[in-house]
Amino acid sequence: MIGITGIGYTLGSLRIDNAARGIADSELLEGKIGVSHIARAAGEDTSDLAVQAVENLAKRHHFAPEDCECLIVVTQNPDGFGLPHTSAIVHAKLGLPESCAAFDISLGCSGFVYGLSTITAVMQQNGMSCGLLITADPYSKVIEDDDRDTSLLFGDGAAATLISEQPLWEAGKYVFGTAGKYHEALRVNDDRKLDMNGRTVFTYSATAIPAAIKKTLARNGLDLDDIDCFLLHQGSKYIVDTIAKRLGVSDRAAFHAAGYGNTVSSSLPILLAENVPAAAHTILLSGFGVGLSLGCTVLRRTGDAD
Amino acid sequence: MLTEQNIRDVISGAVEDFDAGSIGPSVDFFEAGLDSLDHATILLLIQEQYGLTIPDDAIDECRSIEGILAYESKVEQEGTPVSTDTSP
Repeated sequence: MIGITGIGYTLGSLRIDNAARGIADSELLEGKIGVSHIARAAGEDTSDLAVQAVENLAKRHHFAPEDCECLIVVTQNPDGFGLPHTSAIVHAKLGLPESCAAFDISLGCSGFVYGLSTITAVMQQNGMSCGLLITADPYSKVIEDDDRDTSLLFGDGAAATLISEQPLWEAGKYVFGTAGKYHEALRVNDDRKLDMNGRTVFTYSATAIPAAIKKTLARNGLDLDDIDCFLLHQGSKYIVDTIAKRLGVSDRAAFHAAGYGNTVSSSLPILLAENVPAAAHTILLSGFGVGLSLGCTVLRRTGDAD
Repeated sequence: MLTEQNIRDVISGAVEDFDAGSIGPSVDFFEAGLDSLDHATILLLIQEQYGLTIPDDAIDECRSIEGILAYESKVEQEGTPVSTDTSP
C-alpha cells in the first residue's frame, strides 16, 4: 500500500500585516477572516516555490530525486501562460529522471485531495513506488491589492507531499463533488484579477461540505466520533468555524492560517505537516473552493513520523 | 409567514454576542454592526429554517427585518423568482 510518507512546504518570504493596511477593522480581521498576516512570494515564480517546498521536504525526509517516478503539480497560477505545464519546469529544476511521469492538475482549494487520489491511483496502476504531489498556487499573481474580499485572505505557499510504499498516512475512500453552476463564484476576470462572490462560496461551504464530510465518514465506515482531527481547508476562520459548528466538532477543527493566510491547495498539506496532534490516528481531510469543487477523504496513521 | 420574532431568533442563532432584540425592524443590519458574513449566515438560516430563498440580486432589499418581511410578501404575491438560486 502506498500513501503519504512526508510533507515539506514553503511560505512566501514576505509578510503583509493586514491590520496595518487600514482597510478592515480588528473585529473583522481577528473574528471573521482570521488572518493577521499574509505570506507573499518575493518575486519567485510558481515553479520556484514548488522547488523550495521539495527542498524543505528533503530536509525532513529522505527523498532521492532519481527515484521519483511520478510528479504532479496542482496549480491554477502556473509559470508563464501554462504552456508548458509547470510540472515539466519543476521536473527540470529538480533534475528528475526522464522516466518520471509529470503532469499538472488544474484545481484550486480542493486540489490536494484530488491530487492525492490521482497520484496514488496512477502509481498503483503502474507499479510505481515513489512520487511527488506538489501544490503551488500563488494567488498574488491574480490578487488586486485593494480588493478587500480577497487581498486580506490569500497567502502564497507551496507544499510537496512524498508518496511511497513506506507511508505515514494511508488514505481511505474519497468523496468528490462539483457544483459547476457556481463556477463564476471564484474566477479570474478579463483583467486577470480574482473575483469572488463571498456569499456563494460561504453558502456552498456551509451546506455542501458538512454533507460531504458525513458521506465520507459513512463511505469509510466511520462516525464523527471516530475522527481525532478534522483538517478543513483554511478558507477563512469564519468558514472553518461554521463548518465545525454545523458538524458539532469545534473541539477538533481549527483555523491555523492566521500567520500566513489561505494558501489554496497547499492549506491541507501544511496543516498535515504542522497541526496534527501526535496522538491523532484517524483524521479527515476536506478541501473545497474553485469550481465550486470539493474533495474529502480519511487518513489513517500507519507509521511514525521521522 | 415569517414574523419579526422568527428573524430575531435567526439573528441570535447566527451571530454570537449580538442582542437581536435591540435592533429596530427598519434598521440596516450593517449600520447595527453586522457584516457581510453575518448577513450571509442569516439569509442561509432563513432559507434552511423557513424555506425562503433570497437570491443575490435581492440581498440589498433584505438588509433589515422589515426588508426581509417585505421581500417574502413580494415573493408570495409575484411567485418565487426563477434562475436566481444562489444556495447549493
